[in-house]
Order: sequence, then structure tokens, then C-alpha cells
Amino acid sequence: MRHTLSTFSEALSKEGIDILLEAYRAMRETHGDLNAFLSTGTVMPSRLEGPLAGIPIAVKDNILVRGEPCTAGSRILDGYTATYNATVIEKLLGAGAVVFGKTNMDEFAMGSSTENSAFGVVKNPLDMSRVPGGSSGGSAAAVAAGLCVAALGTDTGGSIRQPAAFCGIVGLKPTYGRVSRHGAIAMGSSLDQIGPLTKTVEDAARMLEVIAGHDPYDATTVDRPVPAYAAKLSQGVSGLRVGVVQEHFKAGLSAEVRTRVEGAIEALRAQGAEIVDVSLPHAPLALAVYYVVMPCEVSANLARFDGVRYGFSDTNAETVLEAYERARSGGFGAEPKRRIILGTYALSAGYFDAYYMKAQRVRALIAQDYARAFEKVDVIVGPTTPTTAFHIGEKSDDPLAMYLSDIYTVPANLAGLPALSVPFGVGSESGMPVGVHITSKAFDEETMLRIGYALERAV
Amino acid sequence: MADHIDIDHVARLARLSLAPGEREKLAKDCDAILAYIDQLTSVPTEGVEPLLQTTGLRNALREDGGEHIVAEHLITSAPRHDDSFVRVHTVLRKKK
Repeated sequence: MRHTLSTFSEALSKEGIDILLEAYRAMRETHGDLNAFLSTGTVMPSRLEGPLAGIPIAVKDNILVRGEPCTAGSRILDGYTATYNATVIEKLLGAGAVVFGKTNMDEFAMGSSTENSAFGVVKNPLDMSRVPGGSSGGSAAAVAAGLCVAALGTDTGGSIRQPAAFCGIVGLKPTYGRVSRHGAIAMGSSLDQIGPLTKTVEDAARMLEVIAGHDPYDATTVDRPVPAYAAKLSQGVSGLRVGVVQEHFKAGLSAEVRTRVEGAIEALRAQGAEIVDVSLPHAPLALAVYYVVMPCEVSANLARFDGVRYGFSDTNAETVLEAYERARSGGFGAEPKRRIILGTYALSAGYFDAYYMKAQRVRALIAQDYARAFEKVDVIVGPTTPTTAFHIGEKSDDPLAMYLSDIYTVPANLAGLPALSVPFGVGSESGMPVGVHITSKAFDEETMLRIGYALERAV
Repeated sequence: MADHIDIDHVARLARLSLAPGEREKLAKDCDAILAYIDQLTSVPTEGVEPLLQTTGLRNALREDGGEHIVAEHLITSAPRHDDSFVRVHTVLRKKK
């Protein structure tokens, strides 16, 4: 199914509901090869009307859909059924979309390859020996393989954009506060955002129009109007100022990614954009900041998984303390345990100032770098990832090497800025897709999408 | 900053009990990550306010109340429950 939102809508209006049933049958029969879905239940909207009428949209398995299983890729939630809908699900259903299965993911969204799922590795549909990226690897694989028209993911340090880049699709992380997190299983609460994974920039814009907006159930959502993102896509990039960060092109960036990204920058120049050098001197520290702030938030958020109210529990325990330890030790995989330990340590008495507060001060410096850069430019363009999709097993024994996959995506989460990954051809060595990363000012998703739309047409 | 975690103490705080092999791998990984994080110590941050959030919102209050999820669904989600109660394990052991 190579459909975009508009071609699926056309097909639906011509051929009727059979096309949706056929899509569902095809998804159920073929998703097993990729291991992209953890459950395949569908939820129909009350009326097949609205901007997404009848569009099959897959949902990452850390977003609650009432009556459907929700595991977040973890054994500790095996068998759990969601008791309410996330706000984004209410919005999708209200726009006429069909919720089309729950996608596989790194456990609690912790990972960059979807090898950390308790329910098995997801494969990249473009090369089954490679990872699809992560943590929204199931959503990215499902969209790239045409098992759904679009999907929702979550992004804490790159978990929408990095798998989008690895699978050759579009991934959008909105400004922090643009989309409600109510009903998303929290990982790093000051960093998490829900966003779309789609085949085209136009689809990402149309999905964002539906899911964005203030929500009384999420006190961190900002009350400001949601623009008609799709309407202004084709305005062109002439006169826009595109920032290029020299630090992005230093050690660690593979030659094949570098070549494609330089090609993308030239394409923007050729279309009339002004290319401006900018500096983000503290950006190289982003990953170190992230691996303090995020584990601290993880250790607090994952404290609720105690085996008492839901999820995996060891009923043979004698005392409540023993029950907690058995449920958590048996339920969590290696990566959540690693991050819980790090976060608990960094927040423990005597270390809080040295780790957490120090990291939040450096985070402020990173945000100030962006503020200064955005005085000179409208967007910043660079690589989404240092390499194209790596092989399954290549980095799974070395957490730090895995973490470096997110070096270009993490800064936008720390600063709360929106960012978009758009495919721009394939690498000359690996033959795998390269993603171009576009960051814009807070709440200026419109400009970022215009740049993405122009790049999509220049490939 | 320290560069070594007292893994047993921290695991206890986090309510995790670790198997021996698991414990060593975790300690090794965490030490490597802490060594990487250590680059933050040399960054001058005097007078820099920590960035704890990015939206600038303050005190987003609302009226107390609203819809409620059917309690029955929540109770039956618990691995151990009796009718309308969640069952928990013994908190205090009887003295023998």
C-alpha cells in the first residue's frame, strides 16, 4: 500500500470501505515478517467523516487506546489493557481516522534500534538485516512497508526522527507543549512529544493539524491557535535564511550522509534560500546533558510500575517490598534498569546538584545557543543521524555507541524546539536512506515544513 | 562528581534486585556512562539559571473535578484484586 493521506481518501471514495478491509487483511497477513506490530486491533471512529476520514493510522504501543493492549514494549505491562484514550487518539478518531494496530518499540521508548523490545527486534523493510531505528521503529517500519498510511510515534531524544531517517520516511517532533502527552506512557516528561511518521511532508502537516492543540489534561500544553500547516507548504523557500552548523560536519559523521546533506543544502540554495553559517558551541554537550536529565525523569516516571495496580506481578512474594523488587526486576529489561539506576543515583542525596542541576544549567546554555542562532536564521538544517541504518546486533552490546545515534536529534528535545526529518536520497555506500534534519523556532512548525516540502521535491 | 556507583545501595533505592551477572554488567555500563557525562564538570555555568522546562508556563490550574474513569476497570487491571479492592502484600510482618 503506497498510499498517502490524499490518495487513500480518493481510493476510499471511489472503491468504498472494501479498500480499508483489504488494507487490514494485508497488514494482518504480512506484518509478522517485520515484527512491526505488537497487536493488530482496530478502532473505528464513530463517523467516517473529517480531515482523516477512513485513514488507517498505526499507533506506537506507548499511547493508550481504550480497550486495546498497551505494553510500551515491556514485559512489565504484558497483558495490560488501556482504560482510556490518549488525547491524540480522541483527536484522530474525531477526525475520522481508523486506529490501525499498536506498533512495536524499544522498551519504554528507550533505544535507537528497536532491539530493546521485550517482544523481539523489528526489521527494516528496506533491508531485513538492518535495524529500523528507534524507539518508534515499529511505526517507521509499518509506514515504510505500506502496512498503514501513517503512524504516531513519540520522541524524547530522536525516537520519531531517527527511525524515520533510517526507513526513508518523514518524521516530525512538534514543539514541546504543541501536542498533548495525556495518555502517552511517560519517559522523560520535560522532553517527550507525540508526533507523526508519514510518507510525505504534506501528510505530516495534515496529521499535526489534527493532533496539535491545548489540552486541559496536559498542563504543559500551550494555548495558542493551531495553524493550517498544509496550506502554506508550497510557498517556496526563496528568501528564507537557512542556518548550517559547522560542528555538525566534524568527526563522527559518515561520508555518505555528509554528501547527501551537503546536496540538500545546495538544493535549498538553488531554490533561493540564503545559507548562513551559525554556531551552536554547546551542542556537542547535548548527549551528556541528556544522559543526566532523561534518566532522572525516567527513574521518577517508572517508579509507578510496582506490580500492584497493573502489569507483571510475582504473587509468591511475602512482603510488599519483596513484591516490588520481584515485579520490577522480572518486568523491566536491561535498558530501563540501566536508566533507572543512573537516574536514581544522580538524584540521590549528595549528588543532585552535581548531576541534575549542573546538567540543567548546561541545558540552558544549549537553549541560549539556539536563541542566538535564530536571531540570524529561520531554520537550521543538518543530518538527522551520523550514519544510515546499521545492522541488527551491531551496537546492542555497547550502550554508549548506541546513544551516539541520537547526537543530532537530542538538542531539539533539550531546547523544546520542533524538528523534522525528511528523506533525501540514499547513501552511496550503504544504499540506505539519508535523513535531513530541520529545526525551527518554537511553534514555527510552518517554516520547517516549507523547507521539508521543498527538499522532498528536490531529491 | 563521583565516577563509581554503589550499585547495591542504588538498586535498593530503586526497588530493583539484581542477579549477579546482571549486577556486574550494569555497574560496568553505568561507570562508562558516568565517565562520558563527566565532561559537564568542566563547563563554566556560574550565574546560569537551570532550564527546568521550556514552555515558560506557570501554575496551569483548573477547577477540581471532571470525568472519572469507571473504577471497576481500574480495579480489574490490578494483578491481585477482590471485588472492589486492590490486594497488596504484607506491609509489616508480624513479630514471631
